[in-house]
Amino acid sequence: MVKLSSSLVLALLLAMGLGLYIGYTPLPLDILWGGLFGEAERGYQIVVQEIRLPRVLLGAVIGFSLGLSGAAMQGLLRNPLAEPGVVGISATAGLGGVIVIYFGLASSFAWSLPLASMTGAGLAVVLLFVLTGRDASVLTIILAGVAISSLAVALTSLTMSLAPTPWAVTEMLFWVMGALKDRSMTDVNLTVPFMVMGWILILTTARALDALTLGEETARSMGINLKSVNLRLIIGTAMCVGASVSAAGSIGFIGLVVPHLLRPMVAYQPSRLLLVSGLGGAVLLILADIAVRLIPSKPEINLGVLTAMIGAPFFLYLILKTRREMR
Amino acid sequence: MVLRTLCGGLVFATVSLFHMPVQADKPQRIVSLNVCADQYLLGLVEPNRIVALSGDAANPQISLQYEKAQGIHTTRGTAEEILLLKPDLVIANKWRGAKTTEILRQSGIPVLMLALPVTYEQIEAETRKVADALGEGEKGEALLTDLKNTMSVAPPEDGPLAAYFMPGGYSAGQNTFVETVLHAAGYRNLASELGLTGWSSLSLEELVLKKPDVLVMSFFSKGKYSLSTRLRQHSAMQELMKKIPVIDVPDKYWACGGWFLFEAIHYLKGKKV
Repeated sequence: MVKLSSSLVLALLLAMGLGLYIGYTPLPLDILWGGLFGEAERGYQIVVQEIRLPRVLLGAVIGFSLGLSGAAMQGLLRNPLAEPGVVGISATAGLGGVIVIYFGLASSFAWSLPLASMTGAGLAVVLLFVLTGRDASVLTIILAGVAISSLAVALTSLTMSLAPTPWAVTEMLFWVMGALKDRSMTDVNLTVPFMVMGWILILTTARALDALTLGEETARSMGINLKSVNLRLIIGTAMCVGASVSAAGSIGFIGLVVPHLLRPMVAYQPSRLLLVSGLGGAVLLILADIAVRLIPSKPEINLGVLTAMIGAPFFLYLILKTRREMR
Repeated sequence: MVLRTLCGGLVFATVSLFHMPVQADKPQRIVSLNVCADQYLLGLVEPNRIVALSGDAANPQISLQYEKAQGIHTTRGTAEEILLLKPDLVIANKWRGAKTTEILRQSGIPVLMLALPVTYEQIEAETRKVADALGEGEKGEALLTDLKNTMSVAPPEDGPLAAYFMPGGYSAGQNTFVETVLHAAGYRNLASELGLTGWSSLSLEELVLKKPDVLVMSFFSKGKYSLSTRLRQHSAMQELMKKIPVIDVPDKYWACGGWFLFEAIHYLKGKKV
């Protein structure tokens, strides 16, 4: 566990370094270093400190949030296919963001954007939890997710039509398939506090998640306050996903792929899965964001497009696998 | 063959005799489907021959002749509305409402398709094409004179380096009318010097490191806040905007390529340092 976590931390640091190094203009290492610590020419400082650094930092915290909340949702619903993107939480968070942006709130009160996205995400988690409950069948979760995401995407589109913008099409793509392009330190500052609170809330449920694998009754008899656990998981996930979406749009499948890959390595223990899923998510998202920059397309493809291309086949494979196991 | 042509001519002559007392060859009920076509119509024909314009025609933000468009009927561009207006000419383009123009054509309504002209020669040909279809060849030449007068500058060798930026980081490289305008106004185009062709994107990173002499921006429509326009608030952008001059070209001067681009050229020339 300690070994796994520390190797993931090492991988994360390497990925972050690589993320700073790879950009649109090749920078030699000494200039990169100088740019980061304010010794190089001002132009390089801006590039490293204000363009590349926020991108890498956001990649790390958003990846951590998505990996962690994926693992948390799978624990909460006791279902390996629960993931913020798949079940429509990201889409609903996007809807919240769109509403404040196009009705002008986000320009007068910057915090309104993450707050609205988190509210959207929270509503979606509650809705999902009420619709399916714990131990629902895989089919129920997926169908509920389809309904929630379709509704959220439709309402997002409606909001954009009501407040027409010439950029509606490209922005629609952003909310459905997120991106980290041209984010600034402002985005980092606006979202990190919420994400950290979300992490803490989720990590406090670790012991309870282990107990829950034995069933609700047993968990209760072990002295677990289920109401409080559910509430912490719901709010924590909403904060993580909502804040992520408000800065980078909807980036799917990270929370599905990462916990699944790591689960065998932590002996299928939900409590130990949480932290490593966060770290793994951060590594994967930064690497995906580097790949997006390396693919020579102009304009660059959205990050969410890439994660979906990796994640969707994986999701299909998981469905097949769970179906086989259920027979 | 000869006989057929003769007969056709005869029928045509007879029909004209009965139907058209004046201006037999000019369309009298014209509908435009986009803001570009609106500009041609407003510039070339009298308002009483325009049956309907596009919904954007009276929008002062993107329609150059919005004042002339006041009070003229507009449509939402659906085939149903347009058929009911019984137009004798519809001006459209290939990029919007392909299905709509298909239906109009099937119903026997002549549809004139606008191209997206890029070079001065193409704009000239396009304007003549539209002017001829409207039966206003002379007016068309008059409109072109304005453009020709502003265009008569050789492409700059040592002009200021301009970085053109739209919301979302989009820019315009070689083979765009934006480049034609920038060159005509005496600027060099950063995007094309970076090897970009067509409508493409300029990364913030390149923008900071290439140190353009001037930032040319458009379509960051004021008052309307959206995700793409947040780019202007990015700290790197803010710092750049403090250092080098920013020219905000009004959207309506170059909403698309056409004879009216001379306004954009004028504007850019006037802002040159």
